[in-house]
Amino acid sequence: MQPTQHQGRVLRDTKLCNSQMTLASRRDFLTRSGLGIGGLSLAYLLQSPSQLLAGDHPLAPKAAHFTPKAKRVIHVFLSGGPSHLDLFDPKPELVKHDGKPHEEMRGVLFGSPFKFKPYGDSGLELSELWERTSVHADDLCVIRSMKTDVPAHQAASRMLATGHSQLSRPSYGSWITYGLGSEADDLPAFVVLGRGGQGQLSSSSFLPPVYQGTTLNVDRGDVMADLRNPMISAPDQKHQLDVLASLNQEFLKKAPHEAELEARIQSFELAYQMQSAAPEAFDLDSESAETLKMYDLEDSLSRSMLAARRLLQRGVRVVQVFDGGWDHHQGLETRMRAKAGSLDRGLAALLHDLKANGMLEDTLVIVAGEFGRTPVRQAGSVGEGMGRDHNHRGFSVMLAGGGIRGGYAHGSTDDFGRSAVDREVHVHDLHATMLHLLGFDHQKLTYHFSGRDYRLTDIHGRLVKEILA
Amino acid sequence: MNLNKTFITLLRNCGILGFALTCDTVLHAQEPSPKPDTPSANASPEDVEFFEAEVLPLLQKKCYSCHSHDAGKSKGGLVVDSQTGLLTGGESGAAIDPGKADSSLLIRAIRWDDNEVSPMPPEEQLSAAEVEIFTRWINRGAVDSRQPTAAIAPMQEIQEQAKTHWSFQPLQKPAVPAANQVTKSNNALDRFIGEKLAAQQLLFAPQADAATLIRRAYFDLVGLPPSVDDVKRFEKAFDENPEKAMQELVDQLLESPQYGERWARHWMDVARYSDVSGGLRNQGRDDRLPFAFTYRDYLIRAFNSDKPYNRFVMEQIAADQLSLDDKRDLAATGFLAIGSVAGTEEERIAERIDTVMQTFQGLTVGCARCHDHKFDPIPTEDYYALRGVIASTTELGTGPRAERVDHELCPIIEECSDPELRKAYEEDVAKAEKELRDYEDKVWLPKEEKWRKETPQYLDVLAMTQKERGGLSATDYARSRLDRSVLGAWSQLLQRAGRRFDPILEPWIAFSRLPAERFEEQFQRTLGKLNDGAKQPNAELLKTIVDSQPKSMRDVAKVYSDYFAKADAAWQAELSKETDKTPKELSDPTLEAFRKILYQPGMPPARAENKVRDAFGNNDRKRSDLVKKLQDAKFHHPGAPIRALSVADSDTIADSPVFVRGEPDQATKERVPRRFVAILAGAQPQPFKNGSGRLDWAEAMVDPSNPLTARVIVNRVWQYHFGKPLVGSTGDFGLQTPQPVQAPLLDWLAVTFMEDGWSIKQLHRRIMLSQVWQQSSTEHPTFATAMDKDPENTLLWRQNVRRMEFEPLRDSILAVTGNLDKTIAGRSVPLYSDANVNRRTVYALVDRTNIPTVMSTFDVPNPNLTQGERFVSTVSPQALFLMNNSFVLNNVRKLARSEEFKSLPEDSSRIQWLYRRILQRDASSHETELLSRLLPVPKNEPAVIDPREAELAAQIQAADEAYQANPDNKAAKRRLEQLRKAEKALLVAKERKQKQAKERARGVSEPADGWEKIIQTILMSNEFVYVL
Repeated sequence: MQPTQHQGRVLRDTKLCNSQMTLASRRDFLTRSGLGIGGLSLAYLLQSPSQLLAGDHPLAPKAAHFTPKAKRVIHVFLSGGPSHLDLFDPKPELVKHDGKPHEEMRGVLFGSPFKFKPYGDSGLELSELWERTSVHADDLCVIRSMKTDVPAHQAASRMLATGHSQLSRPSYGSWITYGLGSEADDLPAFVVLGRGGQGQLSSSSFLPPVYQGTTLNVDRGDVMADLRNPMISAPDQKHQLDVLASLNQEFLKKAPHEAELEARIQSFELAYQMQSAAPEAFDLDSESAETLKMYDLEDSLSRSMLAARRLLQRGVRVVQVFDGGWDHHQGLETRMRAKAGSLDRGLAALLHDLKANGMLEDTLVIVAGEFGRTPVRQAGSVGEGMGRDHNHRGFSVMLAGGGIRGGYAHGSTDDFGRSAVDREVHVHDLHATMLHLLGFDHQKLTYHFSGRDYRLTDIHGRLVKEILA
Repeated sequence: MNLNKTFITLLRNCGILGFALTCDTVLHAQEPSPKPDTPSANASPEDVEFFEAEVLPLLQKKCYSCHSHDAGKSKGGLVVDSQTGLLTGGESGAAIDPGKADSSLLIRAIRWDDNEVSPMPPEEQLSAAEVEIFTRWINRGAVDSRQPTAAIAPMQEIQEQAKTHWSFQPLQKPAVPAANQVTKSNNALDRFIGEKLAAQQLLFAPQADAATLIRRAYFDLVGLPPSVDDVKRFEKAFDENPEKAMQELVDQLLESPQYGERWARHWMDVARYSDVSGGLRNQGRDDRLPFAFTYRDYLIRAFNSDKPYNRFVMEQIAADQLSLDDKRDLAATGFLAIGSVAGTEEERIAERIDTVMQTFQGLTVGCARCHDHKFDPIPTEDYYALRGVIASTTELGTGPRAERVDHELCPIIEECSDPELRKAYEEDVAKAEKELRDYEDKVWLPKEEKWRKETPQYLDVLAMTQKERGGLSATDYARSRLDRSVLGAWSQLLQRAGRRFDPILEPWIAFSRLPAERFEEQFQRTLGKLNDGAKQPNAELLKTIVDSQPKSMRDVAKVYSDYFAKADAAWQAELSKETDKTPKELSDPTLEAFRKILYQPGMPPARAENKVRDAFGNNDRKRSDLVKKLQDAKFHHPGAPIRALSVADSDTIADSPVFVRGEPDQATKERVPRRFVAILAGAQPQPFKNGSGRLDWAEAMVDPSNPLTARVIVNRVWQYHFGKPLVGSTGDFGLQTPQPVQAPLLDWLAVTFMEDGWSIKQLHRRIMLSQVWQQSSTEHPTFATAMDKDPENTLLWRQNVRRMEFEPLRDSILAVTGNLDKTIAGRSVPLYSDANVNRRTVYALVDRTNIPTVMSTFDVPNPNLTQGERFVSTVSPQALFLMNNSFVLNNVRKLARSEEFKSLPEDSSRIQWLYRRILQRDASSHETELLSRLLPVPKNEPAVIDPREAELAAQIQAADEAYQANPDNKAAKRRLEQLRKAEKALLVAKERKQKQAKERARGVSEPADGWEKIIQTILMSNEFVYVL
């Protein structure tokens, strides 16, 4: 088959010329460029410097398809399915018919107990639960016509994280890291904070394991596994690693041509640095008093948000902050008030903070859960205990920063907020748009596996141009 | 080295790097730039917008199903999924004429008013607005922003190309090249390699030294290091007769039981081994695979016994249909059953087909599920020919729907031999069963009774709502305040009776169809129909209904309710009679029929699994725990019988229809006979004859004329001896994979492999006794030149330097620290979560839904998908594991504190001992000196003394002297006594402080001493983890 053979040749040639660089020339490069190892960005050295200098290290920073608007992503994953009807999507008709039965939806209509009003110059309508965040209304974009496939938590969460509700597929964080590489100095490229993001939701699946999300621990104990040796002091360990390096140099004489041996020597030095760098990124107390006041450090979500900003600042590509407890089948009003209170404070602080650090313009902020909730009451819930059931037909997500059109609400659901009816946006479309903001054509960011090219959006996905700045 | 392979794979897979081209881009690169007259060349954003928002969705919704590549259809020769498709058109010519809607065929077709053109879409006319959209679009130039799809060669063309594709060519044994200046070896492998080297004017590297060879051999075959004595013995034998020494070494290692463990683990990558089935459908359920280990143990036995590979293939696909010498080999079909059950049923089936075909044939058949394979000669029918086989196969005990996965369906292959354990197992099961039943009964029995008593209410609600025949609406449920699942069960029972005649329920069905307002009017007519029907309803019941002169369906329901009450009362009376035997039924046939509806399992008020679950909800933690406890006792208990994770033919065996675009609701009428893929089965593929067809399928793969099977496996084996395969993509030998440089060698190996009786062990011998395998990886007479000419070492001018994978690394740490538990086989152990488990890594409990970080850190492949190659990355978290992980620290400490180690003199000879133990060689004086730096400096200075203590001592001495000089001086005596008291107080304080310090230290890990640091340093060294 002509094209295939052609492709094979191209690849062969390419790989030959890319691995031409021998160890000597790599060393040469370091010397000539006047950079000691320490002078290069640690990111370049974090994993396997010699390969990286050949330009093909899996975590080397890479160019996107076109100039990206966003360089990094933070996704506050509201796990459980937050009610769009009480946060994002004002439904006066629903309020008007509150308490009336609805045949098709098999239940009693439940108008939001929260008031909506327009904010900012744009007049973006948001619920009163966004007391602090609404200050940033003109930076916010709400997609009110989201939909997904399945109203079950695990399936919908996987859809949001990986683009497939059931099968093992790489998470979008893995795709982005695969596409852009890492700029993190001595931190993982793709970080998960909070509980619930482990496993399939941050899996690299068939992408190389190096793109897997790493769960870091904001709250207590060690930031990540194996970061601390309880049996040896830091200076002693440094001393031990120095001896190790000398032994390895001895061994290198036996195999002077093996670049990877040198890379492994380097990996120990970087590991040593990582031991202090990772906890340092989580040393929230080192922030200014002003910043600390903005976030509520007693609140775990707020702490995660602040930690996330510090991580992003240090070059981490993707941070997913998981916040559980948004599954309000019962007692919606009280519980939403508490949940949204903490989210509102954290998010307002984060947006302010990103702006103040000049990072908002190239940081894509996503606030999204796996689905929304029904306009009717949860069957059997009454009075103060009233809640809402799962709803995948229509829900909202909120975006800001990184090339997003601020002060804009996109699409809509029907009068009661049950189904997306106008300019529907499927999760696949959200993914396509996220990749676009990061500089990728979602149809071209592919990985060849099992005989075909895979994409985050698989065979779906449409760029939602209206929400671009 | 490995790394190169890794990055080649990466490059190939990358669609993002400028130089790594996807097939599409290559195609476009060859094509001239877009013709200037194509309408989209200067499209305005508005036109693009209009196309994407309005036109494209219409095309997709209304036209693609018959006219697109994705659908695999081009009716009338027309595809509309690209601009080219529209412009080129089909049999009737171009579909569109940009700028001229009226003359465009497309418009004429969708207007449905043109006699010369078939109306489209044929089933349903487009709305006027939709036609208008197309009209406007074409008139405005038919701007089309779609990426031109790669020109997909039609299947015929691909099949034509496949005829000359290297991997499909029949296997023929190539002539072994003559000896040349590069090699005088008599080994055929060396001649093939030597020929290519000579052509490039390259030389072999010299043979590696004996110590390197034995370490390499151990790593390749058993994944553990040799002992220093092994090395010494081998060096001696090697000095005397290298050839004989090598032969004996390889034979000895192939006989070692650790060989099977090492090679089973390689196969487990391909077989996506996991101890958890995983998948959403099992959410909240017990999805552990307690007998996954029987498949792993099968693999270990198979490799150790050098099971001929053709038999190995057959057993993994169809062991249940073969006569087996060892019953335990039934677990071979675990290869199929161990796969993930995530996704839909069709996705599960696709996974099985794809894994079988990639593993054994190097073909990616899964692509053909939705359309003809885009690159390989696999038409959609081929996929569905195999789908029939898998769909006719049942994976025992992994059934996704049941709340409790019933592993009892898996056949027992081994009973526990320890009678006491067996007894304990039986007792535990009985106890767990009783506990669960008791707990359920407490909640359940009163409910069941209540539901039976409430039968009149249920019937009444049904009588009011059943007329629409569509079942119950939510409001009906809401209104009724009755139990949702019981009401649903009643409703379903009646719906079922509506489809299948039931003498008791038939009158209900008939009368319930009458409209409420005309019930009385039409009653007689329905009665007449009932009496005249072919099947007679229960006469007594019908008479009672008629006699009651019902005015509505609710009146009919009352008659039924009375019967149910009567039947229940009669039954209770029967039960309370004091007789020896429990009653089986009522004597009155009518009442018995009613009783059955109340009491038979599956009937509305009776116990059924889903009702039990509803009754308890998913949140009943106590019950979930009891369910899990029962599963634990039945299947995870050490005294439980061992069952084979396996498959069997289903009760119904059927050919499969083709699902258009892979969608099960779009099945074709015709079915594809179960058979092998056409490209390998020849022009007239024979349908499979035996049961599901798995046996035939396996036979087709191991047929000596199959060109792929032997090529694929020798390539896999080769990869584990050189760090990279001869054919880069071990699971894809299709048209996208060019012929490898060493093609003749591959063919020679494949043919010889079959001649050797498909013996894997013989293949190891052939490879390891060759010059090419034994050559040095680090020394070469013209290293720089060779590196320049062939940096990837494709031509194999040296052996590759390889880094141990995670499994041999972890196993080696256990081995050299003296802590390895060499127990073979058995249930999986949680060694990823428990740092104190000392079994080999192959026995790890693997949960594919929760992959431990250390697995991905060390590039262990994701067990959700079949993976034939491992990535090799060098990342800092790997270093952190060796620096800080408690597994490493524990084992280091155990060695440092072992009697053996402590009995050694405490000097540099210990370092020698460690070097021999860990690296199987003597340490150089430089290395000894380096490591000695980690020992604490010997302290020669006097012990530190509290200055107050010294001062006090001096004062006491002075006072004592004064007192001695003048014993009558009372003041001097008093002073001495005071000073002595102070001394004592100081001592007490000192002891108290020491005690406090000790207490503080408790709970904190004891710091590592110098020897531990030394041991750990050697374990972290490159020399320990690289195999030269």
